[in-house]
Amino acid sequence: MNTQTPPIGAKVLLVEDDKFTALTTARRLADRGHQIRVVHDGEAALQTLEGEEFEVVLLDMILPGMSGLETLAHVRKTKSQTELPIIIVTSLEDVDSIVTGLHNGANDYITKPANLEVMIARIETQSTLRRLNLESIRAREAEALSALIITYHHELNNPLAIALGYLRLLKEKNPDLKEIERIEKALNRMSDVVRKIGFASQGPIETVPYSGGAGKLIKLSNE
Amino acid sequence: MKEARDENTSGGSGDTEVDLDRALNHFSSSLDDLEEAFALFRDFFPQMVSDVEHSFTSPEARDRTRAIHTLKGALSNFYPRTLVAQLQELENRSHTEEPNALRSAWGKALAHLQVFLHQMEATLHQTKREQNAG
Repeated sequence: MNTQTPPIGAKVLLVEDDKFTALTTARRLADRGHQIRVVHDGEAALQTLEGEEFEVVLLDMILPGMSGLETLAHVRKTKSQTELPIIIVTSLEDVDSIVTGLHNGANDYITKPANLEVMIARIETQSTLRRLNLESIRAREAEALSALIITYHHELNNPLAIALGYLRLLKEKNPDLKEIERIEKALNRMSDVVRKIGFASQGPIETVPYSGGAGKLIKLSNE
Repeated sequence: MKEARDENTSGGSGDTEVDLDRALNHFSSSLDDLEEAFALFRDFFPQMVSDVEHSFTSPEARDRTRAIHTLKGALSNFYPRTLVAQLQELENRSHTEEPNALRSAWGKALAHLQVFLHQMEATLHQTKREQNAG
């Protein structure tokens, strides 16, 4: 239908009960390179969002059953504005819905009849903001993790070196004491782990599943 | 709020009209897209009208509001401004007024709708012919 170059497509959930509007909007957005999933009510939207990840939600305000505002409130219990941008779609006259929606976690709004170019611009803006925000959060998390590893490495390495030093003194005075040999072996093992943690802080951090429960372990290697 | 000023609909009633430039602009100046959407609207139109008429038998005012709102929303893609304003007024009244009080206004709106559909179809046909000839 359209010959313009498709932009980078966003995965969009369209919540619209009017089948005509849903179909035309979905077709036109798909023609412009976006990946569209359509549901016709709030309950279906919540169900879909539980099992699938979307970059943007276009949410009509007047829906059968659960209203658009109620659906928005439900989504915001589990997903923040950064994780999932929601653009409310409403008629121009419905200023109350626009204001209430924006106060209750909508990222933006579009009025009906929605102009395609405006709709696409707003979807792309929200999708880009989401990506940048998530990248920034991941970068901050990686930075915090790296700082944590360096701190552990530093704080463990110093007392360990002191402990090993005194142990060697003890060993010279008591060369036949087997317990000292066992302590030395354990401390050397700890020293090796600390060295590996030091390597881990220098490059990209890899994780492996933790067999002892939930969560992950940092993968340690010699270099 | 430029969008809000531009898209403000006029109140009152009057003849239905086709604003082809506005409708085309809404469909990114693509006559093919506009034609396709209008054909789709015609397919959905009987069901939307039936939903409004059925809502007059419902005890729930919100059923009428929603049915009229849906029809108005779909129609507004083609910019018949006075007709959309008529349906908006009907939607506003549907919150509080009884079905019988709305029937007459709905009858008039429906008649205007039928005229608009014919006008729009004729305009699209004519425009397409001119486009092909040019």
